[in-house]
Amino acid sequence: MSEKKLHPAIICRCLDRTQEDMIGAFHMMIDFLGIDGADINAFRRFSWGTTGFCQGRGCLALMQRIYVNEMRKLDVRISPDELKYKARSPAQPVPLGIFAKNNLEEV
Amino acid sequence: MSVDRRIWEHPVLTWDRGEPVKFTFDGKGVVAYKNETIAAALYAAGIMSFTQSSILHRPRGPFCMIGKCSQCLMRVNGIPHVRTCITPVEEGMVVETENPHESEFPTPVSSLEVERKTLSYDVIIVGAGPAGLSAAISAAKAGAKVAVLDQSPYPGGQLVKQTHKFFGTKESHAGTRGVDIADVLLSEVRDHENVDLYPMAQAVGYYAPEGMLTAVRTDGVNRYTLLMMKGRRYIVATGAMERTLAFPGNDLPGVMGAGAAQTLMNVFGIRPADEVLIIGAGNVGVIIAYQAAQAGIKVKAVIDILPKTGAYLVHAAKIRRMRMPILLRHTIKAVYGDGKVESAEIYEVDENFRPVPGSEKEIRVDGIWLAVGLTPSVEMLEKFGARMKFVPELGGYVPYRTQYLETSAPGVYVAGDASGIEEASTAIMEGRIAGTSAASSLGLGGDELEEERRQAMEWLDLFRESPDYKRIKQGIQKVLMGERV
Repeated sequence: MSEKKLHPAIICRCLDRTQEDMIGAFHMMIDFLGIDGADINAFRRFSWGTTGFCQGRGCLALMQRIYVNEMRKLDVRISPDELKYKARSPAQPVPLGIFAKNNLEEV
Repeated sequence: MSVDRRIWEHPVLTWDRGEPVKFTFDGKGVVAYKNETIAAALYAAGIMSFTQSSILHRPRGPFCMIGKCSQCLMRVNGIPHVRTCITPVEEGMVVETENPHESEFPTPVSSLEVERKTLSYDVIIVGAGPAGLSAAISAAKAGAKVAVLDQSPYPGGQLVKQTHKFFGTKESHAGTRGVDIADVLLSEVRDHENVDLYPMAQAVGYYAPEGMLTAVRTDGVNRYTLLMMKGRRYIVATGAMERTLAFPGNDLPGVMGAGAAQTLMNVFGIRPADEVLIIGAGNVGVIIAYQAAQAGIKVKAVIDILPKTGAYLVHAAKIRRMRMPILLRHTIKAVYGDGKVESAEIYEVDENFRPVPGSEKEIRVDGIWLAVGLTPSVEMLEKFGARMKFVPELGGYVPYRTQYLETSAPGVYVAGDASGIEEASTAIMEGRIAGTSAASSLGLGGDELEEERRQAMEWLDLFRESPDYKRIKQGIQKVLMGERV
């Protein structure tokens, strides 16, 4: 099987982030923010995970696991209980024009 | 049209596909049927790769088929990023793959027609699955003015693809196929004049300062209605999303959620693959293995990392009798293929879930279906400001709730899988509890309403007495709040 091409393991399909990307982003976050500033929302910003079209429906569970595992390697025990995250509107991909006014007079 | 993956003979199901319609896909003509969505019609024509990913240029195909993942987005009549899995085909539609590397700034070929509506209801329900529809019926019976929003063109939630008969008791429609339960609930909803059903309406946000729920309804080609809705009570019944696993090749077209495959097979009558590997031998895994065999698909193996199947005996026994290989203590190593799934490599694990050396096996398949659990869809609850907790027993983040299913956000209720992963029958009961509670908190209904709620709660308590439910019950205890005064 060695001649076969090994594909990456994709964590975030929307923004094309692989497992390696996620772990790389985690370490970059630790470098910049330190362990204290490295909460799940920071991890989302550094890794782009949960910020694509699906709004984390596909990747949040996998991302949490990476976050908790990598923190554990740094001797920080995170209970997923405490992971807080925010959902943003619009929760679905809809044309922005729907919310727009037709001309300046309408504003 | 050389490829037709539609199932024309099936032991249990028949499909009302409707009249043939023609549309174009990347300039080529495709013949579809009126009752199909774009994604289903393309799959039927043998097209598995729907988009190219934005950075790695990888081909992707739909993963969920119910409007939750983002792998089926295409440009439809010039509108970019349309979820093709929940958009019905129309005569003359122009469907194009989005190639983010070649595309210029998206310019719609025609302008949007947008109607704006401001509406008020007593109870607004997001999600028209078993929980949402049941909640609507209960609230409507008490005289509340109810709106039910659903993003899919076909209300009924995931009941519409359940072709097996349900367990439980008469009250929970036991012995009836899920798809028939959906019909019963829908016709009951339609009997109530005080319920407005909004299919193809996606709830996009809730704005607390204005107390306004916004939803976008698709009315046709480039036509939308922006619904700005004020509800005195809200019920969130948004269901759940299938999980995925991290393994090399997990994004190849042909790797999909088991529920997605079920949608293609049972709702649209389309064979998603010819030979499959199913990952997860729980209830979903074994039920879908059986349904795949009914659809004429060869199940090469059903694998599960655990030493024991978590499925109900009746379902597991069915596929055992068909001599389908169920490989326990096995998991997936990688999926290979050029542009689509061609083979999978699996291996055995020991009691500590470590790989057993030399146990790797390669299986030639063109489909990988993941039945590895669900995560509650709680974005709308988060928008309402409900306090959440991560409860592994319930599948992920779930809201705190009272015994009447009111969340920590006053006037916002939760029901069904969004409150924790359970079953369709419990979703129906939870829907009744949320629906009756929302109505009664508005001062509607009388003793009958109280009685309905009492019965639903009693039924749930009894159902959850089952030993299979021990874990879920423990999970619910973690997020149960005392009743608000």
